[in-house]
Amino acid sequence: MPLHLQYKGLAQRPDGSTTELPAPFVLRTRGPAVEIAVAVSSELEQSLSDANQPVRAAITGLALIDTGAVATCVDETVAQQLGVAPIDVVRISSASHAQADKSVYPVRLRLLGTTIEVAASRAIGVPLQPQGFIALLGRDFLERFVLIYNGPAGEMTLGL
Amino acid sequence: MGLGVGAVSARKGMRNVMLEQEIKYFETKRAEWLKIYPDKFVVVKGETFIDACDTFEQALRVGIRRFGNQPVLIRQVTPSDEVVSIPALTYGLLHAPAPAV
Repeated sequence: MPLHLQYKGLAQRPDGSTTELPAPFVLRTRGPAVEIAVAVSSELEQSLSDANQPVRAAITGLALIDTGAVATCVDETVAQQLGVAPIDVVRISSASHAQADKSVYPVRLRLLGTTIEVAASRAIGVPLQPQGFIALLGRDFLERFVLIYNGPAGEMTLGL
Repeated sequence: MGLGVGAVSARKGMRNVMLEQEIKYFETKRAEWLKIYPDKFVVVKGETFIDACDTFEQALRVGIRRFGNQPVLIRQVTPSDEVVSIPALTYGLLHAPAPAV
């Protein structure tokens, strides 16, 4: 079953009352964001369970669908809170530094409100929480989905 | 390495030193492995080659089965490193979401 969202938002008037923002405006300004849960990979969860070690609870928050990103990224503090050890290091450019090496983590993503769960086994740890997100869903994530971005309606559909 | 579970990665300037030993070892072996393990996914711990697998998922299972939740390098044997392009990060295009739904 696909995930279908119509974006909504409220703004406060000068007199303190609130007014609903047009869906196309909310989608344009917020971007195609979805609520997700980030968890340890299923392989690691099985290994921890077999060793009678605790598995840390999934962390929920907003993820931004980013068709410009070649790879999925996860907020690095989220990866650390999950206690996931890195499996690689990749080099990316950043706005403030020419290049930076970032750890790669095996995690799992679940789209809240659906049964859709996918492995993000090479998620790059980057700082995202200051921007209000816990993940960027890149093209390695999107290659499994049909994405419909309906700007005039302020809607987004993500289906398998 | 011996870094514990969930350890904050130590940094030397902007260089992430997590898995540094494994990556250095991989670089010393890249040319050799390109001949015998082209496009396979190798598992490396410290300066020890663990396995070469056909798929990333197989290599991940090997790494976790052998070392649990410890840093371990899982990398495809290719002539050069993966190029990662995340323009939203590169150009600082992300911003806080609009008011809550």
